[in-house]
Amino acid sequence: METPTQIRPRLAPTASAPTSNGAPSEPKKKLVGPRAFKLLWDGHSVTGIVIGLGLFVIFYAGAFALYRGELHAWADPAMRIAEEQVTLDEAVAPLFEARPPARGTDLFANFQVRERSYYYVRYQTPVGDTTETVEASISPATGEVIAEGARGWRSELSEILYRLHFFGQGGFWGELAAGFIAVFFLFAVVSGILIHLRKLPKDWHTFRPRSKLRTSLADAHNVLGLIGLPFAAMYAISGAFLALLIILLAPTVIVVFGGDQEAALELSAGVEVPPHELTGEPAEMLSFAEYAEALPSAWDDVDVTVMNIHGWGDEAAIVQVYGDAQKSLTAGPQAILQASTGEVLVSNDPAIGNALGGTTAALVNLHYARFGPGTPFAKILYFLLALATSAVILTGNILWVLVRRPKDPRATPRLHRFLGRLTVGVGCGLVAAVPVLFLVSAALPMDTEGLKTWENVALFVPWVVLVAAAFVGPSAVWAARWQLGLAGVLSLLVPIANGVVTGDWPWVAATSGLPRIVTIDIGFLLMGGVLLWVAGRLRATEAPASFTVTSRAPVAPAVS
Amino acid sequence: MKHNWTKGEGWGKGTAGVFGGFVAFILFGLSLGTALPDLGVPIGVAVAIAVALSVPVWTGLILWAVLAPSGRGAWLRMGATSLVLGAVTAISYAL
Repeated sequence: METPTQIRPRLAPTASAPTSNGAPSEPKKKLVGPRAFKLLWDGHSVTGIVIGLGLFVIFYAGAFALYRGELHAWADPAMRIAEEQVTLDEAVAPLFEARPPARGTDLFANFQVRERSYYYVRYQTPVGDTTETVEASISPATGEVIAEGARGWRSELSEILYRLHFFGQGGFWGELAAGFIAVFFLFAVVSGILIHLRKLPKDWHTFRPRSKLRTSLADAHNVLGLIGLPFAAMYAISGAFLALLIILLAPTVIVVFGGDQEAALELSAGVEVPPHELTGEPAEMLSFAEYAEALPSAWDDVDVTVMNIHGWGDEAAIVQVYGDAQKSLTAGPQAILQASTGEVLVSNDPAIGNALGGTTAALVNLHYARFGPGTPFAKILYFLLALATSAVILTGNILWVLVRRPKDPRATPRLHRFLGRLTVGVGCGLVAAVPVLFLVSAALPMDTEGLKTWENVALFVPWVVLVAAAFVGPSAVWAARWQLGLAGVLSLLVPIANGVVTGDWPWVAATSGLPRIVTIDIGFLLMGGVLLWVAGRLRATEAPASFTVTSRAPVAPAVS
Repeated sequence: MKHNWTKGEGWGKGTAGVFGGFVAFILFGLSLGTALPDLGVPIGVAVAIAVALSVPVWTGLILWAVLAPSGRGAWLRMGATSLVLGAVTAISYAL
């Protein structure tokens, strides 16, 4: 990383810096003083350059993570259902008959078919003197067990992108890094607003795609940044909250709640779990459907999402039923029932506000686009804004290099050339590697041995290769052009691969009641078209000299 | 107009914003969670305010560190903020 001393001479624009090169002119009014302006400008650009590539990965993978359930269905044809035809009770009956839950143990059931495309159960079954865990994903269409194992899905496609969104592949430290990046993203957003404050109205509508690359990139950075401003701020805050939640809550639980984790959870849920001790007396459990009925009595328009049964088959067993209130951003419906009788022991009340639960629910629901009846439209909007924010981040990185381009391109610092190439490799490389993952996932049968490993390889190996490839060739723009072109072609192949392998061509899926499959295929078609258009635009655009790799060789100032 | 960043200023402000701000971020949440209930605010509301404001407050502290006169000044700001928030937390906890 460059030290502040090294960047000093190039970070300081002159007092009359042109407005078309990405460096906004200083405000004449004293709303932000000259010194504060300069410090904020430097802080904004250095922060952007340090977190930029990580942030791009978070947003680009996050755009796909919004469609986590849809992607499960896209990747595994067995999860494609036109409508829910089998209830969970019907679905688990054969499973329970073959491997019944052990008495006195816990059972977890997930009903989030809309989000995940399948039912999921996890419980303990007796094996001799001990128990073993049963985990199963069940098709809501046929009732068949789709997958068993530590994770309840056969294809890893959706989960790879979901975890990449918060660097989950890096475990706790990866998530922590994502949280820090989110905090500094908010700093970049706020400092960006402050340095652009005086030009905000103009930046809103100034876009000159036919100007030279530097100008059009600066315009794109400003326009897309402004359009996505509330979205970016929301994601920075909610993302940091989600990633740093454990770090924030751990000392809070210790100091504020005296180490009583249960008290903190109950306060958050707005429901106090009644004391219960298992008696050892056997009792018949009711059906999931009967437990589910407990929620709608108190809440309007609720989808039951999750159930936790503590002490299955015991007279004193209790059931925690959680729901998703479709019309509310802040609600987290929950009820606790006596498992043997279905009696509601306690439930949270929509009429009684719950500040902590409401705040956390709002942050989570905003982050996952889970609110209101228009969730599908919200997800599309989120997806587009996530891609726009990804573009803001990449253009910001490239502008950082371009703005510091010396008059003599041979004097371009090695670090700047490296950064330009790296930006292209990480950014365009990921955009091209994602459709490779989809194509490999579509091509490999679900019973392929090591399918999940192959899918991981299908994303990360091409990505690494493309990052390396970005350092080869006459210029970074040249690398960006062919990588974006490749990404466009591969994206166009995704719906074709899906149609060939499963027969669910977009028009077939549309008439078969599979709108989620259509959404993904159409999305790739549109994305492919846009990527090819951008690649074509780069061909016609000036190739900045500082983006050339052979800095010691004479370079023409404008090469197409 | 130029601002001449020295190496000390750059690293001082950067580390103050990251590490000093992080400590203040934790202490901010704790101080609200412990002090507000003493003032009659329900504990759930107090923790909710802490949860909602902690990240924006940390960001504000980073801004404040960047705008400090020097790297040492940035650390002084973060240190003083943490000291005040820590004192509020300690007193509220003791009460």
